[in-house]
Amino acid sequence: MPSPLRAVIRKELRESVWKLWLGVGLLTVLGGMLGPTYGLLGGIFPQGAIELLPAWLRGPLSAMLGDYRLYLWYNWYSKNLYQMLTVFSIVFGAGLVAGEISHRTSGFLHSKPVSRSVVLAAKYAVALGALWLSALAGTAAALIGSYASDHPVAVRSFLLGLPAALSGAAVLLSVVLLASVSAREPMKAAGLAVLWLVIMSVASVVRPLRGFSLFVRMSGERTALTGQVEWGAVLVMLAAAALVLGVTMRVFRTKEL
Amino acid sequence: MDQLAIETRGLVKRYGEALAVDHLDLQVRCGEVFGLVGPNGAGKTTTIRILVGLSEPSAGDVRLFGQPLAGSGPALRAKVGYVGEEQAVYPYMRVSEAMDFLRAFYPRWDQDLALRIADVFRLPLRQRAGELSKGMRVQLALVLALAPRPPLLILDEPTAGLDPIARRDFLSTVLGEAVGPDQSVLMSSHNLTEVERVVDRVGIIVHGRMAAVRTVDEFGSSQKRIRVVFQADQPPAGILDQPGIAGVAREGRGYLLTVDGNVEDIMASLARVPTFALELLDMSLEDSLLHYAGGDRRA
Repeated sequence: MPSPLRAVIRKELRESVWKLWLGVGLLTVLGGMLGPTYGLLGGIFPQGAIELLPAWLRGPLSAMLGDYRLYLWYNWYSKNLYQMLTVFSIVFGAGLVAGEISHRTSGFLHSKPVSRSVVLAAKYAVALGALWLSALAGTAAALIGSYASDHPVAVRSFLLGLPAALSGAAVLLSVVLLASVSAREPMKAAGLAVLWLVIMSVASVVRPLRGFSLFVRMSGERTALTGQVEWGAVLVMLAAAALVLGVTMRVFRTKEL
Repeated sequence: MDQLAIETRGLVKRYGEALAVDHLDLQVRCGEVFGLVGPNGAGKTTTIRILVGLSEPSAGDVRLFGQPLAGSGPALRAKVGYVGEEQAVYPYMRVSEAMDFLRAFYPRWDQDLALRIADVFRLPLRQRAGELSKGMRVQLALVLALAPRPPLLILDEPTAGLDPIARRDFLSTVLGEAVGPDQSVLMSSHNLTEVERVVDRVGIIVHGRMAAVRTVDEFGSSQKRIRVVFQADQPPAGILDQPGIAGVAREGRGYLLTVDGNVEDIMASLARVPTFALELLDMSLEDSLLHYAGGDRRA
């Protein structure tokens, strides 16, 4: 690995330690709590009480109360994980370039003999690593929490949801990085990223477009039903991440720093 | 012809409708210390930001050591050391860590030189950059710019905000300790006394264009001021329109002429008409700058 790339990665790792702790810590807590709180869910809705709920809530709740595997998948992949990865991609990524510009360290770094592409690639790789490690830690905690609360699950089947979640996180981070390159302050970059992600989320609530929704794909709905990873969707998401990253590099190459 | 460390031809930089640099031609020879002076907003910092790769030119050609800057790789950028007022070393890095960080970028990094200059400035190696005073941060930036022994050093207002002692130490270190005879320096500054003291040639940039490039001595010898008080109420016709008279300002009953060349002929013609006073004055670099920037106007 060329020395400048190594030096930039080391710098990014140093700056990202808090992100890693935050991501790993929060997702571990969220994942680890799922098993122990399953019993509480049954306690909240004693026999007969569930019938009093509206139909749209009664169906999923009854299914989850009757099937721990479904409960775990729904609460992890279809709720906590993709939502937290969305939030973390903004927290981890919004300041990557905009933060350096607003703190005037970009002038220091980019007047040195290192290409902007190398810097951007290092930033993306480290932030994505932090996102993925957080997701892996949370998923492991969800499994451990399940076993600890006497709800054993098939580990292999449960892990089938990870490829979609991780590749979706790669897309999210590339979009946030594009926002960070487009703005000059982290808060503005975060605002821009939120706006773009909200627009992207519209597909999730429009029934004919749900199949095209990044967030729906990340939740692994089909994988939960079929027990098969949607490798096609995973590849499309990775390609989309690479495409957005390519556009981001193009924008960054001519950016005023 | 001398080899050029920097050469710009027709350099243009636009920010929307605003023209920050307007067809600027700049040539800095290898081994010379070149001062770039001009009023605020003249385009000095924009030009420097283009030279160090922080900004893209809108048009024009930029070459460093004969190689085009556009599309150049890190190898060409490794030849340039830069100290600018618009850059900050990572505040969490200790002085020694900042040195270690940049060592990876430069094959010619001279750690002994870095430590020697840091010692001259009494920079505490264990202190974080964010805890240093403004003066020390500038000194650290200079250490980091000089340690790779770049053939070209670009300083953008390096001493702005420093006290006179720190300014003197900074410049004596740049020119005495660190810059060798083969190294070129491009320095922009508002402090004209400082510029006059250290540079070989000066370029005056006004409204994004190079108004004049001369040695400091040439500014003094070719540009003069003439103070004249005519005995008549009005000066003889045409006497203030001679070639070489670049500016005429009313000063009480008399006139203050800014003369750029043809000094002897102008003095001789003025001596032939009745005057109460006629004196030839030297111009400082500041006077020249004011003249080019429009600070003295035709009456």
